[in-house]
Amino acid sequence: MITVAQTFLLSLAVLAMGVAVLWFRQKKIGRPAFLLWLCLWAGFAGVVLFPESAVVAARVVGIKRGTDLALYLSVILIVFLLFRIYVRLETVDHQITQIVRAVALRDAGVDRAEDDRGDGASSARDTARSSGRSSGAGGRSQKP
Amino acid sequence: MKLAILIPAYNEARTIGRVIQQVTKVQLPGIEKHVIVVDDGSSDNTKEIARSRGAMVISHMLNRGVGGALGTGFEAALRLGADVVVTFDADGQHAPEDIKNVIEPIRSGRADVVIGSRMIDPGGMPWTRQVANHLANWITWALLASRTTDSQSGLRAFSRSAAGRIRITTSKYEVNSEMCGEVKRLHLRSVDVPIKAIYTDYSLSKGQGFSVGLKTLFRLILSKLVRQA
Repeated sequence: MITVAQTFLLSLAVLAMGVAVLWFRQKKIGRPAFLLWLCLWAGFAGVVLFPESAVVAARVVGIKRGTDLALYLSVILIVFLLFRIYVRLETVDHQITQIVRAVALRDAGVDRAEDDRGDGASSARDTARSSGRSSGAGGRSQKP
Repeated sequence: MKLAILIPAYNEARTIGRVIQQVTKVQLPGIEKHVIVVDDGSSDNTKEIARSRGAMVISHMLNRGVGGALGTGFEAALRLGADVVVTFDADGQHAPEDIKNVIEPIRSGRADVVIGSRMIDPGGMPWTRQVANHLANWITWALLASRTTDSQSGLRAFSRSAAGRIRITTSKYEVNSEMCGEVKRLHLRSVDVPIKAIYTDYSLSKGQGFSVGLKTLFRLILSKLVRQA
């Protein structure tokens, strides 16, 4: 017999999985994130349907209560998500710096003032450009 | 030989004019000197003052931090054909005559990178700063395997080829340690030379305090993790 609370939580899980499918189809998220999200909500649905499974899983990893296992996993998940957000923010920050730099150099009239002496620095820069990343101390395009 | 003196500046209207005048006056025979100020989105008139003193000013429309400003300055210096790039703080902390000392090992071919070290002869440096600098050196060594006597120094010199190879990915104060890490990663020849530090209430207020230092450490660790991810 499924309770009202279980029905609500299962609906939530189905909704979340539906959103994940939609985002994956719209290419808003990649395959790894899609599979991770799907597994997480499938696990959540499994625990909602069979609450005793959490206790069994907890004992397997040496934890007494299923709720404790759920709590630990939640904390790990939150830390992981925070780290992902930090990485994303860093990437955006680097991109903003590159735009600001390009505009500043253009406004100062040094955007096309490349020297043509062909020494080590120029070669290093050219090699890096051809390999798809900026280089030199000014280079900040490295994606974390 | 073309020397670019690179001064990153953020709201330094109080000192930038004097600093530019001082570095301009330094006598360096046989060297063509260019002063480049990177105004990092200042809200005061740093930019106007720097321009009026004859410096080339490159202006960020947004504040990006000292790492972002240095990155822009290096790019400009390389594009302008500089043979040696010297970084110099805008808060009046450095003695202009030390520019000679930091470029000498590069001119003589002994080094690719020269770090002007305030810690070789730390006379006059507040003890709290000395402890903080020792700690920063240790962290730089622990995280980036790079040993130096002053990882946080703002007075450094780079040969053209070193400036062209060093990659800056951080935008705030952690850039100081990152540059040391790059020296190690690229196997560049590095030398520490003693420099004099001029401490005033103003320069002390502009440096990394305890809370900024902690933030720098946090960002350095995270950037290290992200970089390796």
